[in-house]
Amino acid sequence: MLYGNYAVDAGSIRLAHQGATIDLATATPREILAVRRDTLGYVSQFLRVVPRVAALDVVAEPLTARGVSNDEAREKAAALLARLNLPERLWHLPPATFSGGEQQRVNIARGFITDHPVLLLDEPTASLDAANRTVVIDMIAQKKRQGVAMLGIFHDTDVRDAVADRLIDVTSFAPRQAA
Amino acid sequence: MNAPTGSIASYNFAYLDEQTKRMIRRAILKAIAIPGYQVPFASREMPMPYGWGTGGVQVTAAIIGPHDVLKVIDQGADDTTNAVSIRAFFQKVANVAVTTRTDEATIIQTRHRIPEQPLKAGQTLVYQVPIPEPLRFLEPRETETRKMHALEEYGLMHVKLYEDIATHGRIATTYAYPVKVEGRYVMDPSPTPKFDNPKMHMSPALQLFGAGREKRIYALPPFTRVESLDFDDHPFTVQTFDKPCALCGAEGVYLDEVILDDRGGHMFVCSDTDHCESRQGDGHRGQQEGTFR
Amino acid sequence: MDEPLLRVAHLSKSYGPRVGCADVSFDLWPGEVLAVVGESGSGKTTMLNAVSTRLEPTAGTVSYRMRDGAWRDVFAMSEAERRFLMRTDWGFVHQNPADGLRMSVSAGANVGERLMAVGDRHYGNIRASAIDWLGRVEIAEDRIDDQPRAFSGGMRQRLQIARNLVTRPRLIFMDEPTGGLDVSVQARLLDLLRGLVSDMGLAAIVVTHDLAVARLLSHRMMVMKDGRVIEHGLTDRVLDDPRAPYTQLLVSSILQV
Repeated sequence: MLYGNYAVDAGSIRLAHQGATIDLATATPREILAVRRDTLGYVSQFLRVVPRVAALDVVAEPLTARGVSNDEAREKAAALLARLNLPERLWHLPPATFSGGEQQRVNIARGFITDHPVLLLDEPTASLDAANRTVVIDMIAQKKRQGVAMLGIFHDTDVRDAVADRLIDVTSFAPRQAA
Repeated sequence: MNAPTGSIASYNFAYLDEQTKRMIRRAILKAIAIPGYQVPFASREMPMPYGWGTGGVQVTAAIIGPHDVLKVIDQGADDTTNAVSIRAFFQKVANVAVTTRTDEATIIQTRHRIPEQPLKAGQTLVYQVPIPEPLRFLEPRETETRKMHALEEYGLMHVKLYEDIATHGRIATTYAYPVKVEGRYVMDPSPTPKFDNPKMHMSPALQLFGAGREKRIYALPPFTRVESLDFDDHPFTVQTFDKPCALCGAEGVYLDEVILDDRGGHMFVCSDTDHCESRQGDGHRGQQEGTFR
Repeated sequence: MDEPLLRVAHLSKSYGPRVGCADVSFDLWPGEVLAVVGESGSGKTTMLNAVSTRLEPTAGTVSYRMRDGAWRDVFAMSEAERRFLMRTDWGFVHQNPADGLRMSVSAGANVGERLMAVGDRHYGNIRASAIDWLGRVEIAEDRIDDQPRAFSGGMRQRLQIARNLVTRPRLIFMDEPTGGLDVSVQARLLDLLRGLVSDMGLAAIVVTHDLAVARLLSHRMMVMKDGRVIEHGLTDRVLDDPRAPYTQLLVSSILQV
């Protein structure tokens, strides 16, 4: 809902975008696209990409979409994938054939490559091993130092405690409670 | 209305009835008014099969008068079957004077050539046209080709020339080479060799084109701009021949190959028989003169 | 820049009493890809043909912002102007490449035709452009003089795309561009299309019955049923949170691999 994937029935989602406040609940599709391009980043649980595109280009794409040159975007993408310990031999393969953990790392790299001021994280560490989980925690901390506001969903309490400043318990939002 | 008939009382003058001639003349006038534009007309059955020049014959029949002097050529020659038959036809149905001399003729009906001798004001060249639509082989739909002419969409014509260069390294179209008339309509000059294309440009003679089967008439009034299509880096050129005519020694004319024997002997001679004979009459001689006669 | 490229208002097309499409309105912005989905017979192709002036609509207007910034009602243009627009600033990619290509002229001439149509008279330049565009759509240079009949379905489709893009249009219409191609070829084509659309800042209207194609290519999506637009919004919103019962049915009908 926050990213605009789900339509809002009631309430508002206010976000500072390009010096103005925009309500995502009522924004036009075009405005939402602009918000996504410049303000609101998203690390999803699922990887939905064009088949046949190499992992490196999947990661670089958010940058090229904002007008960064291909070479520069690929360089940054390579650095991120290296940091996330994705074997270099996989970089030029399409992620569709990767394991869950590998796909997730591609996803995280794709979400972290830009400098969006707001980032949504949907269980970013769910299928990662301990070593990579630490890398992600570091990356989140780094974003935090850069002043990026992040909203994340975490099941993993260790990670949650390591990164979160504030907790929202969503069980109170659940429909059965509301009813 | 009957023109002088003499012994051919059973025919109207020049075979066609007067209503038909009027209809054809209207089409001709319209064609002259819009140079290069194909005017539809109600082509009649003629006493010869389509493909034998029925379009040209109808145009000639519509414009010929008792005082005209008619020359008919087929591939430049006055003495081939088609030329002889059409000449005889008009002698019979219009009782007009006929000639083989280009400069004596007032009307020249032609298949596939333009005479070598430059035409003069007052002369009319009538072309027999098999397929008047230059875009036909590229776009088979008549509705579409008409629209393309109307909107001056001629990119396709260059596609054809492009294909030539891509395939042969040069524009390989050597006859029926498309031209642009007065900077507007693209026109098929009928299957004349491209050698003759420059002769159409700014000619003092009136040029009329008749396509019997396709029922179209088009025209080039005297002194019309006629440009052969080409590319900037592959300009239009005409054919050149290594040797002069073997009979009359003429250079810079269109030559036909004549096979002399079964051992590969051959020679090149003027395709325009009148031109060749006139030159020989003036004493010009080619290298093989004598072996041929 | 911040103005739509195309405005469609209350567009309807009926075939006698039968409705082709009814009351379709939308704006399309530069660089935006709009997918139109719906099952066969939903009116999406009729709508596409009416917007692209291949069909005369019964009612409604289609306005286009020309390169000079002026808005023009495309149906008020003269036919010559409209056809010129269609072969310079617009492109149309047919489902069946044979409908959009000249099958009996070479690949190079297919790509070069639009250039020649707008007056390019330099063979060398035309050929260089053709080679460049064949390369961009991943057709080997040594196929330039082959006719599209000798090409596979995927190659033909890529050739058709090159032929449309050589004049650098700003708006392209696509009718089931990946229909009839096997999945690996389809994937390659989608990848290519996405790259070209983003590199050239192309606006596109893509008609497809394949929701996966719509998701990969488009920013926005319109769902049509019985000639009407029943849902319209951000592509992932429509697919992840379909509102109309029919869209829910459509989304739930996708086969999962």
